[in-house]
Amino acid sequence: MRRLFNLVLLLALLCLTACSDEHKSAPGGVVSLSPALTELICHLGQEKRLVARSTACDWPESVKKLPTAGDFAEPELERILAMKPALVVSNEFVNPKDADALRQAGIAVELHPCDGFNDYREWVILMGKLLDCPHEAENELKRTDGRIAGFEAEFNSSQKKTLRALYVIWDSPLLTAGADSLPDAVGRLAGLENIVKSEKGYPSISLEFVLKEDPDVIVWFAHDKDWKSNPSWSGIRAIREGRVLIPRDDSALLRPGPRIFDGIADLKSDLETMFADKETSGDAQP
Amino acid sequence: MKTARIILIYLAAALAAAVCGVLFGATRIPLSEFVQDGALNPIVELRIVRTAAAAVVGASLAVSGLIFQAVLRNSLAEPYLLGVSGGAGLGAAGAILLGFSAWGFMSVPLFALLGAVTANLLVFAAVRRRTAEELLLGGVMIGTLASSLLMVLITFSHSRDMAGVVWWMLGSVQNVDPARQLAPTAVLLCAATVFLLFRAGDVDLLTFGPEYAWNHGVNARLMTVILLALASLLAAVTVSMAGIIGFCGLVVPHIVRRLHGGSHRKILIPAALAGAVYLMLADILGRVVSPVRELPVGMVTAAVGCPVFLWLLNRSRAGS
Repeated sequence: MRRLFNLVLLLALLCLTACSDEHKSAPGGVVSLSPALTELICHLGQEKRLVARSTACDWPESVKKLPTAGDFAEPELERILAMKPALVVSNEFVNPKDADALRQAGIAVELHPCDGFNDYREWVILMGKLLDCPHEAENELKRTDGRIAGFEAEFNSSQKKTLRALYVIWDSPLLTAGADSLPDAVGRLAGLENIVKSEKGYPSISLEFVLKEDPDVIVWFAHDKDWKSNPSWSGIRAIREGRVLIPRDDSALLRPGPRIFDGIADLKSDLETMFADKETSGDAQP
Repeated sequence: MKTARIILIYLAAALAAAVCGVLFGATRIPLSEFVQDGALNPIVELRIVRTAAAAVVGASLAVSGLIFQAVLRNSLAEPYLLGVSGGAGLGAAGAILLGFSAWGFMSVPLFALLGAVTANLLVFAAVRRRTAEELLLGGVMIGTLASSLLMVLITFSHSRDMAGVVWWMLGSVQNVDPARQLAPTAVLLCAATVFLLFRAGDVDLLTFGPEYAWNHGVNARLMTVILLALASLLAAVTVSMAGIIGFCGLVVPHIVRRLHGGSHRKILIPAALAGAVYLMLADILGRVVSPVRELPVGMVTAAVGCPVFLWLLNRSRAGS
């Protein structure tokens, strides 16, 4: 009887262990709190090292199965501590006190900016070292430089006029991408020139400035907002003439990750289609 | 000075400010380019709408503040006292953060109006005796509750949405729909001004206290509720249109009262016009000082209003 009881107890314990192991992360894993870095880790073939992600990390599809460990750059400390990862990676927006708490628990924390192609290159090199995959990192660096050079060469050889663009991140207030921002760098590779040159980062700008600058095209990242419903926008020529381009997948363009070059290629192709259509429909090319 | 002459002076100042509002902005437009190909230059069109919006919002806030200060007999009373700002902020933030802003341009203003009116109704429903003091305390409580809920929403929001909420809370007259927002608010302002001109005597009596007003034949409690509801409605409508613009409703009535005395029949229209001038000038300043980024008008009204008010306060104290 006692043997039977011990056997049942053992089986129950095994079941419990199996159930809990389903969500328990392997020690020594990586927690990524940035969608771009999650994509990079997977692109380097290290998805198996990921034990948790941020709620914003949604690509590749398979990472959605991972447990979440906070929002973008906002770690949930208790959950991460319980997972006992070896490394937490994110951009520099993480609260320094949270980072210190993780470090005190013996977890390595890497927080660096991730805003443009140079930042991306540095992250690729760092990830190669941290995840012990220098060969894959080197290949990604070569691919990055090759794609950038390719876009530049393509634009220079095409002899096309640069289109003046406004990048709308949010419509009210009019939040846009300024000089040195990621959309600015992305747009340049797609043959666009940002009308907001004097302001850096993501400034909120005046409508009067937009009316004065009269952009050739508006790249609309505010997907969930309707650009037609705001009456104040009707004075802008690009709006009136329908030269508003909604990127196919803004996550590919707004994340400095491995998919960004595909996003730029899509943007370029959509711009060519838009202005080819305008030409055939009789509208003058700006 | 006679009332008519005072009104004429304020009217001239308002017209001058309106002309400046159309002439000056982020860019310099020669007069010859005001009309292009038979149509109004879009920049000029934008300036006309926002100048008109600044005038209506400023006038509404000043009238609302004037009534609040008179009825509550409190120098610190302002248009947002009965939970309007907290309720409107909660409504607007809810619309932005919960994704209702995707319904269209008018969704955020409508939610803000809904929030402000709901907060107001809650104050009137929650306070049983509805005396000025109790309504004031009820307003502070409901406003604080709404502000706390707003903070909770902001805490759970993403940075892009948060920028929208914060900008909205700083106030702006840039994105005003002339047909669906400006015209109805202007009609409400005119109707409220006419009503208040007819009832200016009652307002004067209420400034001496409800018992005094009662003894002079005014139903003090009913009139207090009507006046506060009207002033709150004016504030709620303006806040839904242009966000939370501080100082205008607090400073302008004080200044006008100090300059022209306490008769509401005499100072109602000057206060409205002074509010319009104040906000039009603040809007021009916000556009000219920082042409690309543009300063939020609520920030300019506070930055200008605070030192001006302190100077006036000290000057009058020194004089007395």
